[in-house]
Amino acid sequence: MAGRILIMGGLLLLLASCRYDVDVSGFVYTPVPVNERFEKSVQWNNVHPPRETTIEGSDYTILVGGDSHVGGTNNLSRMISMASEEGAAMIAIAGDLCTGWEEDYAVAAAELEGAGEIPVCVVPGNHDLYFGGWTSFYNYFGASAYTIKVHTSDTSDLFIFLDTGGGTLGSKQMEWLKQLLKEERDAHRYATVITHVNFFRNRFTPATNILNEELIVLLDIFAKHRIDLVIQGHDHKRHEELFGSTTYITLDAMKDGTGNASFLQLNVGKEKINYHFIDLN
Amino acid sequence: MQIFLPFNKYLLSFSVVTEPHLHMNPTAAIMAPLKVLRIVAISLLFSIRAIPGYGQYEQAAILDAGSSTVSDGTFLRPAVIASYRYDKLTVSTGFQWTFSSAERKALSGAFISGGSDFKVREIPLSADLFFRRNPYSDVVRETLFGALLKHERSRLDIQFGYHMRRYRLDKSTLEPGDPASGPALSIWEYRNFMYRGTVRLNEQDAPWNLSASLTNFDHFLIQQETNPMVNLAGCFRISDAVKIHSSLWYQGAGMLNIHANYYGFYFRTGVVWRAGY
Repeated sequence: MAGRILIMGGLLLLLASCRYDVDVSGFVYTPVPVNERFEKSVQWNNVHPPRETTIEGSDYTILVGGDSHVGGTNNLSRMISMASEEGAAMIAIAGDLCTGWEEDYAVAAAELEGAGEIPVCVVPGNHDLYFGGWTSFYNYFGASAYTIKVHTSDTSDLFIFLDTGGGTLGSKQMEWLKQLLKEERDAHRYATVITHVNFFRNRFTPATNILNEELIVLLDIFAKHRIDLVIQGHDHKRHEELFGSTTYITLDAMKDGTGNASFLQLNVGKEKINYHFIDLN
Repeated sequence: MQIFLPFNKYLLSFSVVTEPHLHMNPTAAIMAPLKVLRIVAISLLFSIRAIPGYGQYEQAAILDAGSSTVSDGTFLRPAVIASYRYDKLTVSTGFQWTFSSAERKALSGAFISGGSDFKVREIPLSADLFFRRNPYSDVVRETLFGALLKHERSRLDIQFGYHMRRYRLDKSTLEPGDPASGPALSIWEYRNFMYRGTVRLNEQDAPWNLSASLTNFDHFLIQQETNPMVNLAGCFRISDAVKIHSSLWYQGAGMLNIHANYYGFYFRTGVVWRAGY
């Protein structure tokens, strides 16, 4: 019996390894661990100007999508077109932009150039890191952990992008996040976190979550610092939870051909942040 | 809070400790050992009441030392676990403390469980129901309810289980005008799978043993099913009553379906004392 289970498991792994978009070595090993990616991100942030954008008035729109898994770019292209039409202040991609292959990075980056002057902020997902994808991510997008500040006529909002492409923030990014919130949260009206791996297991799914021990630490600091929104991808199925004063949103996938493909529109206003999903089918 | 449960002819007593706000500040550092003493005393009380019966009392003391992404350096995690077994029935309780630089409560876990052995088509099985409480801070805590089914063979153990998890926020985190009310202070995860597979070098009751396990849970911790832990363990029976054991646990993040990363490890050592020998 045990032998049969092992053989079945082996066959499943072999089948998975034949897929173009799954790097089986990533199941047990990463060539560039998250602490190393974070250190490179800090270096990148130190030699580039802070990411900031200024908008007229106090209300603005942001579009957030995830899991486009380029290859196909139809849905990604529609999101970028809408961002231009709406005059969005920012486009955010919550990971798994592409498959990790260098040629897919090139396609995705070319597509994102269509956003023109609109800032595009990307965090890596697990698929972006497959097949040695970190090198391409860094070359195209730079840091994987950073902040962007949106200045309005009378205040500013903080957007924090976290690298959870490896299923953990790692000790260095965790320490940075704690320090950042302690020093900067109170200076901003709203604080939003955007990352890849979804926090909660609201259904049976093979998709990995942040480890429970780490999750409870994040819940604690997000509650203490009154984070308004935490937006995640990875699970390919939308889910919303209000926990204290923080709304946790898991996005649908934007991958072409996905039945429930959508992205999120955030309307940031004086009183609150409203959001709704834009269906792509 | 003192709880008395009727158990066969005896009353077993144990305490559920409700922890006041306790961080690792100097006061807490002094308070924590007092709490340890309190729990040990309660456990001894448990044993004194149980020993005169027909059943079997067992007490374990364990100490973990390790580090993880969130421990802010090295952590120490002492724990005590007491079990009473009568015929096919077992009841257990345990408490764990965590000492590290991270700002968190010292009392990090408590559980109560009860179960029974039985057979299905001559296959020996045991089932347990458990309740666990893991306070993290003044703000957030975790509660778990679940059931475990175990099948033991001489060199192989298999366990499967199911649990529900609740994260709970303290209402002090809310401010006037917040949209959140009662229900928004809890998040439930209803569908969680538990598993453990253990292989041993020698038969279970051998004087010494080496084993390896793949699992997503430990005495006070249950990870999501997609976050397995690996452990290598050894034990040595000093006498009929006393056994010492050590194990090394490796925790990976995102193993098996993501871009795996190191998360943490801990080394455990402990002693198990069985009364009545």
